[in-house]
Amino acid sequence: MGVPELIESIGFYNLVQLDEIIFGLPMGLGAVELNVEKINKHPCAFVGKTLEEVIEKIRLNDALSKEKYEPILKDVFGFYNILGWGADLYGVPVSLGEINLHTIKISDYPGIIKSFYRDDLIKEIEEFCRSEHRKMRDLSAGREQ
Amino acid sequence: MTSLNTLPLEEFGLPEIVEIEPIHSCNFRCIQCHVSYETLTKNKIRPDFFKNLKGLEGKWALLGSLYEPTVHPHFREIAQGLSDAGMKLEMTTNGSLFNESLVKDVAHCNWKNVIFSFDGITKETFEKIRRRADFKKTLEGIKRFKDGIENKDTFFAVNFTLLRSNLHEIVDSVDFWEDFGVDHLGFIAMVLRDENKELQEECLNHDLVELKTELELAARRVVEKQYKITLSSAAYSSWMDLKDIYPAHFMESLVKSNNRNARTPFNARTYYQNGHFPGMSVNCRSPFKFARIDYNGNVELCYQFTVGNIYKNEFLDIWYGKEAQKVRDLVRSDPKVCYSCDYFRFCIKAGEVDYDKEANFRNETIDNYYNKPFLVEDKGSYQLVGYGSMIYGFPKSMGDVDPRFLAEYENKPGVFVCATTEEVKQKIDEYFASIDKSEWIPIEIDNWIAHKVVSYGPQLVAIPKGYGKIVLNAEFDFNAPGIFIADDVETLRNAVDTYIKTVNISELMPTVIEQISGYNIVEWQNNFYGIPFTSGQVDLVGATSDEISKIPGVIKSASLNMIKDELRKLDFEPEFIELCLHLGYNAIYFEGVFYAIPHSIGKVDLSNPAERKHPEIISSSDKNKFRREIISKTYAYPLLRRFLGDFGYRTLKGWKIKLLGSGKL
Repeated sequence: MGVPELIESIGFYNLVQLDEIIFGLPMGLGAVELNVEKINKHPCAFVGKTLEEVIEKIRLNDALSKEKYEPILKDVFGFYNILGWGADLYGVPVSLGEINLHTIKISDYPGIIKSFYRDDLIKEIEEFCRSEHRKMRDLSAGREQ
Repeated sequence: MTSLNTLPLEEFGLPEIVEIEPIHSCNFRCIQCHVSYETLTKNKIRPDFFKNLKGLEGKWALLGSLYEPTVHPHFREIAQGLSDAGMKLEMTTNGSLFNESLVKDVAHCNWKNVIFSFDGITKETFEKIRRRADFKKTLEGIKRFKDGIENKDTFFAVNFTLLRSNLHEIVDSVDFWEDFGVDHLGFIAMVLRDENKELQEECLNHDLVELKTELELAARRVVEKQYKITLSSAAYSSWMDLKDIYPAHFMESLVKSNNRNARTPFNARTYYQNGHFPGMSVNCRSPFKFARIDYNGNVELCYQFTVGNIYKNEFLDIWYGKEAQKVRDLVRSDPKVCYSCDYFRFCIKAGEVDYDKEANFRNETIDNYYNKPFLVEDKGSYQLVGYGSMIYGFPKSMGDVDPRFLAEYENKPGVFVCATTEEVKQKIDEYFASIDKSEWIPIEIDNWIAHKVVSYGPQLVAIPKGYGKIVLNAEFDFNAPGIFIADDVETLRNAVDTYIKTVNISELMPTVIEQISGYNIVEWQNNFYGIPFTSGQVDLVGATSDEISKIPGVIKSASLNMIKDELRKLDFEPEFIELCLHLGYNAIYFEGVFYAIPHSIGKVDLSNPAERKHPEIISSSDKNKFRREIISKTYAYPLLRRFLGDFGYRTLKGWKIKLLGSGKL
């Protein structure tokens, strides 16, 4: 048996390859034995022969994994916390303070940004912040006039 | 993360922040600081103020804000006491006084936020700005404290006041404090507090472009080098081109990199005070969330209203008390109070100060004429007070009136509010013209050396005290010598001062010249009077010369030398006077006779021959005989008592009084 290798992360999943098998493991799952039968018993852990197959399974079961697991802080980007939750990444402004993604209606918070890919998320966060700063600039210029 | 508060921000309850100013002093004299331009009283809070500060567990105690808290000789007890009371501590300090002993004593305290004021990062710049400071020693003190305290979660910040002298050190200060290990660096533009040349040259109101460029470079340094340190400045609240490049790294007045260990400051002052509160016309919750205790123990709201004193009452009784409630009612009913509040503009909303406006580099608003109530001028019995672009005319008889609480006085007749002083003056004149002079009520409002000052109608009148009790009315002779009338205090004062120089002051009021042999020699209306101390306060004003002479013990003479001679004759030795008092007598000289009057018989009118013959009064025209008689009592009394014993002596005295009446034994 070979050595497990972390290939990629999406949302709060680690995609690990062992021999010819790809495992999609929620970060909150803790230490597990990489055995296909055992992993298949976990409702939110997935096994496949290709990366695409596992990602597809993760995305299809996104609602279930979000229900079962809490978001995980993966990174910070300026005044944003980047959380992994289900198959997605969420950019959450630190100015919102303690916030529970389980209980809020995310669409009520325009500052919270969701994306599947990190690069896309960062780009969207920057675009949102830039537009907010420009709005403030235009507002104060308007007040001056 | 812990919850910041237990009460919604828009509800009134316990104060979330109590700012404590331990002492009215500082060991530095920084050129930009108000401390350098005021007289420091060195008044300090008594450490026992804790006994009245209860029930504030979990609330913030902010130590030092305007002055240096560590100068207080009992700083360690204060920090320990507040910590033991369960309060969260924040301190603003220059850090220079943290020696090993002090750090050891306060190391265990509940420090949450510590802010060091440090302007410049080179010895030359720092010591130029922070006069009396030593760059190396101050840094050592800061490091000693930072390394020495036990709570490793304490948030350390540095406040860097921006002046022209340290503008070039802004960018390098980011590296400097990052290496030092502080969490946050706050840039605050100097506010002009004095018109002196040195300070004006340091003001950045003409260097706004350079200032913003340097601050932008500092932000770029933090973001691009992924520094742990975060930055703040009001300048970051407004637009800068860097926001287009790093938009997610700016939030309001803050700058932060992607460093996972970076911490942004929690500013209790802003968090609790800056925001909406029901009934308030500005976004401020200060009077409902914050109180200040100054170095005299005074408890203030809004940094401008004293509502009690911590030595006299429990803090929470003051917080919920009538005076505090009056202030809360006022700020909700009169927005002017808040619009002109510097604490709101420069402290609570410090992050929103617009550096593009030159006026924000001064501590006075230019567009609002009178920020705080201000005495504009006197007009007779009125004082004209400016406030919020209006002029208020108050009768002086109302005492100290604060126009901010005008609602209390609005039904009072004779209070006028107009846009100009001229209009108020006209209203005052019209008011007095409309009422009969007999309705003018004279009120004594001041007391000068030889004159009393009376407000009467629209004017002030100075009357020599020597006139005694007089009634001011339409019949009064205002042309009598020494009497002056004016519209304002200054004119009246000038007139009186000029007059006093031309006359003998003793013509205006009784004047004590000298003291001899238990007598005051008083000059009054061209006569000299010797008045025994034992006569107590004697009112000479309004009495005729004969009446004065009849006061028991009073000696009168037309010449100072003659009265001195008379008194020297009396010159009882102090021991003799003391003996008389010990025996229960007052020794008095009257019309050539010495009298010893027992205290027990009360007031005696020696001008009345019948009263002079009271059997218990000892008298003699011969001073020596008189003295011998008094002294003999000291022998007879103890000898007889020793012979008969206390009981026998009292019995004998009782029989004697029964049979012979009272008299000497």
